[in-house]
Amino acid sequence: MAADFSRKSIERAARLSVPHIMLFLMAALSMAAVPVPGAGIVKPFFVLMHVYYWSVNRPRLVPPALCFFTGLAMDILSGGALGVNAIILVAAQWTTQAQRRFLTAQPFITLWAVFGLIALAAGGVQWALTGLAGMNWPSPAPGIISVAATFFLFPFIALLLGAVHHILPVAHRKLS
Amino acid sequence: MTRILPFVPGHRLPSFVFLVISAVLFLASAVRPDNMQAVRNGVTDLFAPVLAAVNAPIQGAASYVRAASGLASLQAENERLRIENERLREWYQKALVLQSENETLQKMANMKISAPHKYMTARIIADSGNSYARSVLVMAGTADGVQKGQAVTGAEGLIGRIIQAGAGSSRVLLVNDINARIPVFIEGSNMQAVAAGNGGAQPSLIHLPPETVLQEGARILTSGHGGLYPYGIPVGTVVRADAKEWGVDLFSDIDRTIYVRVIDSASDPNLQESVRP
Repeated sequence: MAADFSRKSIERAARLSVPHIMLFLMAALSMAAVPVPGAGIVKPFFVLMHVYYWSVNRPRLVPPALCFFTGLAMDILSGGALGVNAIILVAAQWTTQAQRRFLTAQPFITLWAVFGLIALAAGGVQWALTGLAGMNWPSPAPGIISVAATFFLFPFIALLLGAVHHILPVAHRKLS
Repeated sequence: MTRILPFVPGHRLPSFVFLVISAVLFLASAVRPDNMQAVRNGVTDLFAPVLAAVNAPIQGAASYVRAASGLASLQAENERLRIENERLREWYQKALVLQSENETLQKMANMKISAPHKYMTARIIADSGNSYARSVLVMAGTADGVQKGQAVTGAEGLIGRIIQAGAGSSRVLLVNDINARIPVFIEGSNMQAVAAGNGGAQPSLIHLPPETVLQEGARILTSGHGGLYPYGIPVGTVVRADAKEWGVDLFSDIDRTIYVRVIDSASDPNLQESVRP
């Protein structure tokens, strides 16, 4: 098949790349060393917000492979045990897509509450696996603060992702 | 088509497979943390410039906000610095006398003197992104002379050591990470202990003799035992953590640190002698 380099197809590809660029920026942002007290402990799960939002609204933008490789890259760059972020992101994508029919029919407040539960589960998995890797379980307090920050930041990030959603080309298939 | 795994719906198979691969990677990594070190170094070096580019405006903005909020207290700060400067000038004169006296005494005793440490300065470009793991990535690697195991200090004292060194970037395990263990001694009492990170702001002092009573505020320095850290790097001061435990109030303000100094311990003549064949 000949490659389509028409203006329309290039524009479509450019618009579809915006969520991926945002995913990359959110991964980098979650690892940013902000020089203010407490910033090293409070680490909101920005990438989880991204994966959850698109799993509900445009699942094809966050396939399992993308979640896996993003999580793996974050694990490698974090210097911790491999697989922790990959497990969290793939499991979050799986769970959300399995409940997509229910979630798409819900108001934002329900989506937010469900995201809170997913963020809490992600925080628990991160705490358990980080402890298991070193056989030394730290106090869960920093993780609880991070989950709370993730929960309260979600509406703002959802607003931003909603704006991106508007510029995306219309999906041709039901699940795209 | 026959289902490969009857309990997983067909369209969920990729998620299941990636979940299993992630779990296997986690187990392999937990059992052998040093596995795939070359891959880690390569990926970290690849992404380091991007992380540095994303981090630079954030650090700039934080510094700007700090500077702007500090304007209000500028007069009080100026007065405090003027008094401190007067005090430091007195100390400088005393230090010159003590240095000269110390050198003379060391020569008389024919003591082998450690050369002063050499430093490399590097900028922090990212942290771990994990609330429980306290480490940072710095923009200097083996190409700049950084090696695994070297101690790292901030402006005031120890902040960690290099645990992973790639060609252009390195990872520093911070002193307050739950896996950090630093052999130290307490100035004045010469008591040996280990400063153990606990994920919080103040590491714990462990392996002290039972019923030990320390003086709060006493300086804590690296003892050099085990060879991981050079002798005499300031770490912090003694604080009481609770009725039975002692902690370390770190000299370095890790959360506000942007630049770090990597100590090139190869300049230590005692260390050089011990590794010479």
